[in-house]
Amino acid sequence: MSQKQSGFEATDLGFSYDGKAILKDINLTINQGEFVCLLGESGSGKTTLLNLFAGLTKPDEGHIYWNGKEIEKPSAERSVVFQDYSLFPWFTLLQNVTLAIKKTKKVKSGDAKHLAEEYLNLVGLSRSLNKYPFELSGGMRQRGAIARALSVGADALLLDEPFGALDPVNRASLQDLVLELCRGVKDRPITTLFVTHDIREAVYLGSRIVVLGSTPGRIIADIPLDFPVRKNRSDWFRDEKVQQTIVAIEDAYHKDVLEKLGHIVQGGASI
Amino acid sequence: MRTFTKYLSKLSGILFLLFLLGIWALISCGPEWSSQYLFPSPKAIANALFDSREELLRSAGASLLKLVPAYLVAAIVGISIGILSGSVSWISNMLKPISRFAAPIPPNVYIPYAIAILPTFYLSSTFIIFIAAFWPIYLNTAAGAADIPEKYKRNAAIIGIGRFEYLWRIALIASLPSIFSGLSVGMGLSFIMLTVAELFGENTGLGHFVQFYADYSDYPNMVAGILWTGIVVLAIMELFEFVKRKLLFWTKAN
Repeated sequence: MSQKQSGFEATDLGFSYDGKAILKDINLTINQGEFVCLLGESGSGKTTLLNLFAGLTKPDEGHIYWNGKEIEKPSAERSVVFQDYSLFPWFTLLQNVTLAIKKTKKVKSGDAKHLAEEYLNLVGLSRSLNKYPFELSGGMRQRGAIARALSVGADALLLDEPFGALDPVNRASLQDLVLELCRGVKDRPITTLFVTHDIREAVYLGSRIVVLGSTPGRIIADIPLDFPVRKNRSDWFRDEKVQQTIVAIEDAYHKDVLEKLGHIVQGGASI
Repeated sequence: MRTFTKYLSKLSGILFLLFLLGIWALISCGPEWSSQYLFPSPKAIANALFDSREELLRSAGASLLKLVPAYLVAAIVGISIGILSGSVSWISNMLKPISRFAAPIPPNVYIPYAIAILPTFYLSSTFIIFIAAFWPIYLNTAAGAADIPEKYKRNAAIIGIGRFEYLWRIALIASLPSIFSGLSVGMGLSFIMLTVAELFGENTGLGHFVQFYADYSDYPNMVAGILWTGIVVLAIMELFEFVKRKLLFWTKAN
């Protein structure tokens, strides 16, 4: 057991609800700076696993460590973005982010506000600082949620189907934003766990894909990805290697037969 | 033609009121020995409203002096205990039996006992109003706080909002829609209990005004008292709705 390494480590994790096993024998290590996409159908326990990493739920069996320490409760180091928008509707965008900063960092109100403005600018919301969540589109709310998650100085970002409710255009632009913020920053590597059931999204974003099988949820595939740099989205998706991977995961995913992935994905794919 | 119907539809409320007023005026023109006596003409009522304006204002003031403190105390106590009870399970378990038993008791049955144990009529009335307003406010607040969407709780936990801060910063605000349902029911009940208390034992207030002139068979003043009570209640309810809209602005798109 290498609990001293930085990143996440889950060992023999199990979780049951109402006597029904939701997750079983989960062994998963996510190294610092890795971007892991967790794929799985509805009910496979993806969200439960994310909540365990966040510290929102405690495991029935096994242990989870963050930077070598056992996870016992939520922490600003591991920030979460939920699908159903992580902002309080009675606060403006700026108030939401400022509150999070004030709660997690020991800074003065004025500094917290200033920092909140910076992060909201970073995600392209500089014109909507004083708007309430109900005045914003779904995409803008998720941008706000991402700004809030990053503003607290998180080293890990846990995203639970964050773009599931968005239209394709917004979805694409937010995917690029997440890539830029999580994978593009060299001096501050952010460890990311991104839960989705969209294979294309997982392939586009991840440096690694972990697939959960259902009843009970268990890891049935762990695929490292090594793709060309994402310069142009449509060109990137036309890349033969990318297409083959998507098709292969789709096939395997739908048939729940993942053995064949090993033959198709090149560059050290393993199952 | 279409615009005419649209206007007619918009004005229908006022037109219907005028229609009812017309019927009232017609009835009051009936034989002197019956109709004019029990159904004073609109003019006689208007005169009574004008002539008794000072007394009416004093009565409204006296009523509000009972209603407002009792209602505010009921709101503060009911909301505070309700938030605690909805958020902390042992407090909820502790209060469940007593609230199940005591909440459905009609508050007016406490009147004789309140008069017996409390030194003044004023205290008895305010106590009864308090009881009437407290239960709906408490029960609705507790239900709201117990039913706060999981997403708010998770968000609060993620950004490190502690247990106590959660109560007032998250639970209180997130429960506001239910709190306002409770406040509204409590307001209605406290109006009823206020006037009931004043009809019986008090010598001030709107209920007393109506009862006083009824005892002397001065129906123009009595009807004026009823109308004035309606106006006062309407004004308070409008103010209430205004505050509610201001505080619940964020529920628009949820």
